[in-house]
Amino acid sequence: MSPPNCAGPAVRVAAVARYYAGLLARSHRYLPPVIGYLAVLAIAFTDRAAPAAPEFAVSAGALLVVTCWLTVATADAEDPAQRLVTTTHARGPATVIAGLTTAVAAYAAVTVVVTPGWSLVLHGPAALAGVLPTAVLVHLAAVCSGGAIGLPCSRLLLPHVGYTVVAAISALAVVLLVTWVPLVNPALRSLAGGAADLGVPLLCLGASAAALAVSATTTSHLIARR
Amino acid sequence: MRRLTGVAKRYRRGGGPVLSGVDLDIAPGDVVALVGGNGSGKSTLARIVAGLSRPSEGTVTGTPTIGYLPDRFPGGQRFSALDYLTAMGRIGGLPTATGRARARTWLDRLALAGGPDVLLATLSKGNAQKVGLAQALLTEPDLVVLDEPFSGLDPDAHAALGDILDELRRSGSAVVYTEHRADRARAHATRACALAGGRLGALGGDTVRIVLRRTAAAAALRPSHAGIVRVAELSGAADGGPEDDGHGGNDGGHTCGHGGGHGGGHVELTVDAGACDAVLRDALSTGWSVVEVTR
Repeated sequence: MSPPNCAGPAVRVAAVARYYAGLLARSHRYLPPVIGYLAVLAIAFTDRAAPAAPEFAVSAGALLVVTCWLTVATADAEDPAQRLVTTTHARGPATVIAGLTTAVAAYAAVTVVVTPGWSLVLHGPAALAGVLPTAVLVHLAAVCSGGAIGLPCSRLLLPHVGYTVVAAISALAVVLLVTWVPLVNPALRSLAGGAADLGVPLLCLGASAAALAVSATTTSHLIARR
Repeated sequence: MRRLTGVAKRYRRGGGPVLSGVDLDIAPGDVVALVGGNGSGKSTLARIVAGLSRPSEGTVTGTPTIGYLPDRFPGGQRFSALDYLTAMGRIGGLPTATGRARARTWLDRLALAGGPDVLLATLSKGNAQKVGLAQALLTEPDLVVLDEPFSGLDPDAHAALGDILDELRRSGSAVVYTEHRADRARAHATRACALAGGRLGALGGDTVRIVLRRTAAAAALRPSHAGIVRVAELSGAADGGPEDDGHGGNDGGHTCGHGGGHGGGHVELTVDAGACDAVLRDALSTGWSVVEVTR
């Protein structure tokens, strides 16, 4: 018997995240959502004279969809039998889910950086001075909510891509359009109206982070029950 | 190390049980073969042993580190074999350099076609199976669960896997593997269990033990019958202790010839009952003398 491999949970999560990031990169499944997001930016971020806040509302809404798509793409890039192997090495599904979420968050973080950068080039620093913190919070909320929707809608729980499409589109529509769901919609409306206060975005970020935690825990629990 | 008590598994509420009342105690050094036909529940039981599926009833105790090979190891990824194994090693807690070195060692030993840098997506079923075996063994786990590990392997890899199972047993690791063929299960396992109707029991004793003695005119005995399960050289009639040849089964084509330090000794064959007559006829016709036949 071997001496125990004493890597801690954080090291394992980082290793799983690195594996899934590599898996997504090699599968090229990141290309459609990333190209779609860049297309949204190219369309929305064109008028130098337009206020920046409503443009950020559009990009944050798109990022919600993109993050959900990336989450599903990452989870579905791995064959279910291969995921059993990964789960064995990770010593349980919780580490796998945490690593997968971290990998998607890393990809999404790049877009969170790219978006203000694009706006900065278009509008200049003066136009972003008041709205930038609010925009970053709303984009982070979109990343969390997108991941929260993507995890249970992926092949982790749903066996057919048809179910995934219907479930993900339905959930995204609810989160984007229903005003009383406090994940992204209130922050998007606030941003679209030009408001730069941090209250609503902070509330939405907290709720979205909580939704991601609940989604990850529930998904992990349901996988373990199989 | 791992104990299953009263384990049952149903996939649908109200559906029939895939497994029922399964008790299995796995200790260090055990090599347990689970034998059964298609749909007998072998893979389900393997996943429960590996902690990848929760039983509907019963308990699973013990927390060994586990290596697992699924019944069909998919090779569709664009990782190279080496990069994939290194990633699995990292997830399993190995430093990158250690994981990479171990991966190379296992892939060399299993003779992966194309070498360690070959892409998983380009591998044949047998070569993908070799990568699957390598990942299951990579972190030197306490318990190795292999679902149909011989499936798709070439004869050389069969022999290598037989040796690996033997080494794992001697090192104190436990192995649980599933298998269709009873002869192969008996050849490598310290304990062979039959899975039928969702229930686990001892594999039936439908074998015959044959002891042969070399005569001066005896030709080399080259068992060609599918029913020969095990060949062991007896060091002499006086001490009678069997020396397992370490391979067993038919796949390696055992040769029990003259010389080699065993001249004048006896050979013990374990043979499926149905093949007994044919094996005896062959032995007698090639100059061997039958000393003992027991059921």
